[in-house]
Amino acid sequence: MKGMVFTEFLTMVENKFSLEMVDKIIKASDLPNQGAYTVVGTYDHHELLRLVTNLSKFTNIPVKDLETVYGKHLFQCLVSRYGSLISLKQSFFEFLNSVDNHIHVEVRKLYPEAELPRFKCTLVDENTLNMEYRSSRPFADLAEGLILGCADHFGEKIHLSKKSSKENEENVVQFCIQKEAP
Amino acid sequence: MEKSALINKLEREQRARDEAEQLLEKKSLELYKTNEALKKLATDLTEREAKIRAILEATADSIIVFDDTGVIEISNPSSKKVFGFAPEELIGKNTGILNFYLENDRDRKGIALNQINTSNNLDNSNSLQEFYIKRKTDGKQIYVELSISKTNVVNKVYTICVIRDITDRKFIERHIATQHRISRTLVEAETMEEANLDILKIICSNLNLELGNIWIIDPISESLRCTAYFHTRETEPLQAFVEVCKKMTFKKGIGLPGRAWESKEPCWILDINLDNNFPRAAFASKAGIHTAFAFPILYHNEVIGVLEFFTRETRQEDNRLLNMLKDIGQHVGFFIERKQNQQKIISLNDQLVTAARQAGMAEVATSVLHNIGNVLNSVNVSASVICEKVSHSEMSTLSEVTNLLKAHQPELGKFITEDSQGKHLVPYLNSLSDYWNNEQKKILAETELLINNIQHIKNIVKMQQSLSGSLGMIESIKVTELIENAITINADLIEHSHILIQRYYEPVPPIMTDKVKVLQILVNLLRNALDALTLGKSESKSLTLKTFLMNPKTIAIQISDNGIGIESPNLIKIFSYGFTTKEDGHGFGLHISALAAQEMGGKLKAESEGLGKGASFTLYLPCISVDRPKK
Repeated sequence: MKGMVFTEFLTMVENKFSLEMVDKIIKASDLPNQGAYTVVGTYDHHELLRLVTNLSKFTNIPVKDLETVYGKHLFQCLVSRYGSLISLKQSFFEFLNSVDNHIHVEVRKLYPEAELPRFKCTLVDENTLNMEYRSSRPFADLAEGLILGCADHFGEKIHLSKKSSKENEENVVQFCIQKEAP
Repeated sequence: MEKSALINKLEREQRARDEAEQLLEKKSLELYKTNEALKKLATDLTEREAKIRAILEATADSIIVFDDTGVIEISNPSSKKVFGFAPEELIGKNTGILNFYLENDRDRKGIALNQINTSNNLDNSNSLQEFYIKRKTDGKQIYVELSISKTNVVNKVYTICVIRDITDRKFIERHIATQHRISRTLVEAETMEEANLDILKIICSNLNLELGNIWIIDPISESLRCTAYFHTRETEPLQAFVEVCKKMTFKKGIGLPGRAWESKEPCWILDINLDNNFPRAAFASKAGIHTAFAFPILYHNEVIGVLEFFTRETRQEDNRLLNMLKDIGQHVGFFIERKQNQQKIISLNDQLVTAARQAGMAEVATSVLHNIGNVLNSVNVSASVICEKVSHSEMSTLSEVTNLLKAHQPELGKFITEDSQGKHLVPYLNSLSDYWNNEQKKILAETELLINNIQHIKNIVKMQQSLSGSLGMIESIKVTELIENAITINADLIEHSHILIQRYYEPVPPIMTDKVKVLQILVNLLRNALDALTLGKSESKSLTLKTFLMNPKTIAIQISDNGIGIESPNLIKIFSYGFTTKEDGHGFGLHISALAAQEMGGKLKAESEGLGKGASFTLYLPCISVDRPKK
């Protein structure tokens, strides 16, 4: 998992809670590099899971909620860092549809070793999009946060429902994204 | 705690920076290596591109590559030669700029390059298709062979087209095919009229022409007259133009046919609308005709006709086509020459057959006359014998006896019984009576012989009369009767040769045929058999006559002899005209007999085991039964 996911997570914890909380979860997570993450590095995703789990333990906030909030935060970071990937002409659904076909293609060019989740979008009607998430890693909630962050970015109010399952050790989540009437 | 956390954060950031620096250094090294590899790759690619470019530029075939939207991305300089478009005129344009036409597409609807059906497989399997295109620069029709293959480059399908100019090859193929078909037509055609239409059809269809005319010189009016035409389309204006062509005639030098006649060379009119020596221009123009050309039909370097063709499109003068048509013109000339020679041969053959028939009749007549001559000889002998017997008869002394009896009438009894002279009178009369009886018998016998011979002559004349007027007439004949007639004709010769005639006549039905011809053949075969027997050394000369059914459809008449025989090599040529082994022969009889047999639908066969072993001739005739009226 790219270092940016870790650095931004620690930044968010520092901003939302405190620097001490950052220190506490790092220590509690027994990380190989004691939390010295760099954006250009690549790290084991289990380290993030440990950090989130310990944050949940110390704050009594469910892991799911933490991941979702972090997802929203991460989307804003991605926009500020890689804003060029979002076309001005794109709509919310068009952007979601381009994640697998366009953004992940570009990511693979930069980081050939990256293990990326796969998204498959089906436009049910102009206000409804079904998005299937598939990954060997259990970050469906993080994905949910990213979707919500994306909706905020495009100024869309949405209702999001999801249905999780497991297929051959793979996490499969069906997101149903419905735009709320303005 | 807060301070400690801050220190920890600073330490983490320091470690992260260190790690980042190490990572950056490592990445920099990797990037340097990658950059070097890329540089090498770029050089290789440049070289490779230069090679590919050189190949593209050097290849004689036009190469066009377009993407899945039909936009041309690559084109080479040969495209200019083939299509008349320089590469820069094609690159970036849609393939619709290049139209391909199927040869049999009479509506001339072009197909855009990206619309041509190809296999969608990306397996580099090329499909070869032939089209023609119209070159942009000069409008010339170019025949091309198109090879299309597809390739996938970075998720994009490209179509690679190799277009080869096969106009020369196509022309040669077409030339050969046209020549071949015309040669075949000229060989197979029975008449000039039949050949004319086929020639026009072949040229029009092979060269995509609208209309073709054949003009033949009319020697009386000394002008060209349209004797045949062929058009590939049925339109009213074209039909009207054809009608005009049929009605018009051209003097030397006038119009297109007249020009080809005068120059003895092919003539080409690019556009009849712009030509001032084309009297039919108004009608041709309405029919949509533009280009016209004509070439002479030459026979011994003399023009006997002109072939003329028309197209709707404007075609540039094509010297190779004209040369090809010039060849065809000569072929047609040779054909006419051949047909005329054939006509002469047929005429000569007719004369020969007539001569042969007359000769055959003469042969029969000769035989008849020969026989009559022989019989007349016997008649003469009989007449002379009777005459001599009558003139030298002792009966003349009867008047002296009468005078003696008159002189002694008063004493006739005394004179007969007592007179020394009278005593001899009664014995003399007895003797004279005996003599007369004997003489009368001899005269009577000779008279009977004379009557018989005259009857023989009558029979021969009657038989000959029965033949007169039946020449060439098909009638019902009984073959055995005809054989006997032939024997009658040769009877005298047979009688004097001491030949034993054996007859084995199996029942055969009467047949419908030419009686005179059969008799001619039989007389000839009998005469030959008798000659062979005369020359042969056999002591018991025999002639065997047979009739039998060869099969339900054929009867056979066989005349065999045990005469001199025929050598094996001579058997092969025995029916050839002029072949004979007789000192006084002319080699005509058997040749004519064989021809006559053929004319009747039959055949004549000769067999011999060699010299001294006799010969056998069999005449086979079709068993055409006599239709009897139903009762």
